[in-house]
Amino acid sequence: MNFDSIPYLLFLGVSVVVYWLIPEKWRKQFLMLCSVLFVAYHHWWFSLLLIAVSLLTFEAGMRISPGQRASRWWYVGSVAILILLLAGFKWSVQWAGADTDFDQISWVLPLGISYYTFQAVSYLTERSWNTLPAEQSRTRFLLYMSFFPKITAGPIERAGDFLPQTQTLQAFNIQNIYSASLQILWGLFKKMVIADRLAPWIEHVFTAPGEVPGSLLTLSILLQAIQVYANFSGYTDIALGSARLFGFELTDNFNRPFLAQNISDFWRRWHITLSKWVLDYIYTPLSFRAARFGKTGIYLSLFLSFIVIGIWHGIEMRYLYFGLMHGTLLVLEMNTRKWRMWLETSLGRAWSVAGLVFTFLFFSMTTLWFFTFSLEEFGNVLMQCMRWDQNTSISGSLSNEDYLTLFFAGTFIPIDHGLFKGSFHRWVQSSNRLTAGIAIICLLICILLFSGVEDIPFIYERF
Amino acid sequence: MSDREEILQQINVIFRKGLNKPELEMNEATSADHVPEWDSLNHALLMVRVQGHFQVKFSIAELVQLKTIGDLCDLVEAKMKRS
Amino acid sequence: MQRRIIKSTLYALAIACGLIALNFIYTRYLWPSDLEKYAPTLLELHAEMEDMTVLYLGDCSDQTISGNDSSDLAISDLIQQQFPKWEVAGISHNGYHAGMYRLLVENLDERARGLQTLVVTLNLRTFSPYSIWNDYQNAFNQSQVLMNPRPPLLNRALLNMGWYDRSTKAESQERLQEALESEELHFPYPFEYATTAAWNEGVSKGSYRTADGQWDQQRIEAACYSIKDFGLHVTDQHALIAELDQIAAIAQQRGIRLVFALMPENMELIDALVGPDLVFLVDSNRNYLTHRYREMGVTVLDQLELLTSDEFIEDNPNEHYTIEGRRKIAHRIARDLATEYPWESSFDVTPEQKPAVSSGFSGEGPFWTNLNALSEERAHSGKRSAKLNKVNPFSPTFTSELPANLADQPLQVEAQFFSYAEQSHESFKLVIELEYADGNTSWHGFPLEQQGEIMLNTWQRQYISFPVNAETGVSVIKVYAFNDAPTSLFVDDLEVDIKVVSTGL
Repeated sequence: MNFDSIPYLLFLGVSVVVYWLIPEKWRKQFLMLCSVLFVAYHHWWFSLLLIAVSLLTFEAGMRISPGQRASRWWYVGSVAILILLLAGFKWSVQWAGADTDFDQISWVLPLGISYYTFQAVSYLTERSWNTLPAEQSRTRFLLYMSFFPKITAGPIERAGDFLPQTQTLQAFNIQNIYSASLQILWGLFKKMVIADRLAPWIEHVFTAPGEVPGSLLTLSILLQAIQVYANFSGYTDIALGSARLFGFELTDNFNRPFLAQNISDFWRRWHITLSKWVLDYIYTPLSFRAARFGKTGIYLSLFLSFIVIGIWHGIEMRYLYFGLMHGTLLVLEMNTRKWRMWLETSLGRAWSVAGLVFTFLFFSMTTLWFFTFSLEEFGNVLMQCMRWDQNTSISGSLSNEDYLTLFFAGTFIPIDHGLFKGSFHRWVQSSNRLTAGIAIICLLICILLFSGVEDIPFIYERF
Repeated sequence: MSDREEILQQINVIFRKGLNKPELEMNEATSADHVPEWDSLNHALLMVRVQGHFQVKFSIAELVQLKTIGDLCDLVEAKMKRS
Repeated sequence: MQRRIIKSTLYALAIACGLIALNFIYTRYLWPSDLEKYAPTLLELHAEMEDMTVLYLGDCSDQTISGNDSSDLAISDLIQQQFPKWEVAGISHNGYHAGMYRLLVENLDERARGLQTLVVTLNLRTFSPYSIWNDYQNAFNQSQVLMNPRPPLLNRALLNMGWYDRSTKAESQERLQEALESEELHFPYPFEYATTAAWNEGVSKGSYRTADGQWDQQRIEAACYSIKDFGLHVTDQHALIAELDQIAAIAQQRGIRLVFALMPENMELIDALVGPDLVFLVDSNRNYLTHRYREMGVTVLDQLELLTSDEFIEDNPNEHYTIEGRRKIAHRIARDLATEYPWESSFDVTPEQKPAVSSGFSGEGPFWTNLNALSEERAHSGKRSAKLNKVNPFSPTFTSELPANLADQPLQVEAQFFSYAEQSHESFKLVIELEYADGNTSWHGFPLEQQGEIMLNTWQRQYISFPVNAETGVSVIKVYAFNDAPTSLFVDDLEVDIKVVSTGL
């Protein structure tokens, strides 16, 4: 059930209405049921797997108690099972030979497994560190694992943030409903008008990048970064808004990532819950242990962490390269911090702008790994980007529809990052009624008239 | 000077050396947000130096719960008392 | 409370007005480009609606051509050639089926006032699940959203939200397999396979071998395709039957004459590849369709065995025809249209050939003699027509001495004219007079009533077609109208064409 489809909106609408009508004591169970049904809608056995993983994690969590010998085995054993399960399914995607067509793998990769597995590992690790008490209620825990707004593509919610919300449910608040609806509206706009309009353009260009003029190819790579952001953050807004309709607050995955002036700042703003998960559960333990080998140990930990980020997307060399590229730049940044700070002091704003542009270009370049499968292909595309034929102008190959797409893509980031400061619903609430009303009407008109139509699934649903 | 103040002072020395910032002056409320040089790279190195200096060992579980210099002082103090 | 209700009502009204205005803007400025992208056939229909007299709805059979074809004209184009005075609108798209035709028919509005006949092609292959679960399916489902006769803005919103059936490739394959496995086969004799899937499976396992004993993979593949395409029973429950029923109902409601043209299949090849069992199924499906719709009063042109094997383009059984095949089909359909409106048609058996001799309008050119009967009392076109009565019984006469090259050719003399009668005229005749080289003469008279119901006090088009056999030694052909009754009958725009008949059709 895509988040930008009528069945989902109907499902959401009905479940919200029923949720607030039924007695409070049944609401958790009701939400849990809705969530399991949501997963079962895709393939019935996905829900069985989800329930099995949740129960395993719950039971293991009860038995992990720091200081006890058996608890260590419970921790290691359950985490190993979870990681092997995830790796196994990711590997089966490779084996199914469906690395180019997500549609073919929908029966192979259970919905949300990357996300809820990481949630489970985070819960068990926090238990082993004794930073979290064991959850006593299976219902609450199952709700934490399966909560449908976040099951498809995150955010990877921490048990410490979510479980307390299941103990004391929020009261009905119309302002909250309104604000959540606005967040969903903005998410729909980002996905349907920005991302879905860009997707066919990008797909078309990357079908045969060698035949596209360098100028158009370069532009397309930059648009690809915007498309990935619009798609994923659009999904995230719908997820967060959906959760808020039930009175639950989830962690935002984005914080205006294209304002980042360096790559470490970028990863504090992009897919925040994944990068924080890797930071807390991979990098921190690793680096602490490896620090005895000095900076080399730290750097290795960093590379390993980004390799995890890379292969989380898929067990393929290209995602490994994705992770390595980011890891390399991060290490370089760490090593050149002094010089960069000096440049920042000397050049002021110019340095900030340069950093912003460079970070955006770098990230855009690495998104090529979503379309290329080898270093050679990657290199060829970059070489092609440099072939700016004097006789070929971009405008010659663009239609009116393309110009409209460019208009939307070009104005979207300044509006989203600058005007709305990454949060449309907060902007509406701080604006006067007329301005807010005009903005909402404009969004609705754009969604009605200008949405892209090709059938594009949410990108991060495939990971 | 109390043991606690001594610990804080020594931690300051370690951080000044590790971050190459002689003018650095931290108090118990200081966190990584207040010190730009105190990033994830330096954090691990600094913790290793603190361990080595005070002859204590931290577990991961203990490390992840540290938020401020004050928390670090608490941990060092507790470890030293135990040993 | 009252204030709230009023406020809410005003908000609702404002939203409704806003949506209506937006729908208007969208329909006017954006809808055509959306149709061009997602439903181009509907755009074509809009363009043709005002002018068309005949609407031909087809699929790949209409427009697929062979590299060896001498002409790339589609079947609908060839029909148009048969009726130069009509507007024959041909709308086709590869892969189209009754469901798509139904939507097009539902979109006929008051602009289609001139539409008299609707020709819908029936392609037996479209009934098979193999045809339904194909690569076009998702795109057609998208088109259908836009083609639904609803406010265009609503259609666009539904399209945006993906409100249509979408299958992944894997899902399509799964559903196809399910459909083939559930298709039970019933024969009036014992048959080895219970389902289409089993039959396909059986044939795929080395049914044909080459001379050296190897599996004839090409032939096996072709046979399997045939089984998946035609190995089914079309029944009342088939989804396309509901669509065809709906088309019939709409046509009846609007007073449009409906023709279902069952397209030719390569029966020889089906028999050779799979055998009489599959021919039996094709035959029984044909019988079902023709019987069902003829009972409903629909004209069903059974063209199933119209063509020979060499008039199909490919080696797999399908509905792609050579130019010769397309001409035959066009001729067959035109012949049917002509039986309904005989004064409208001209039997052009070789459509690309112009008439050997053509008179143009009466009174023009070198052919006309005897202009005595011309009167300015009334006219169909121009100022004068021939007023025929006892005083002046003969109209202007078309006289043509046949050129030598036509002397021994089989000819068709076609005459059309407009008549205006105030009362019934039994004595009227259109006369074709033939003079022979040996001095003999023959007259062939065609009464007015032969052409069907006579409409009084209005100009009515009449048409006569008369064969002139070869080897008769005709040297002169004359054509004129004759009326020697006391009351007058007017004749105008008499046109005569003499055409050479090609053999074999």
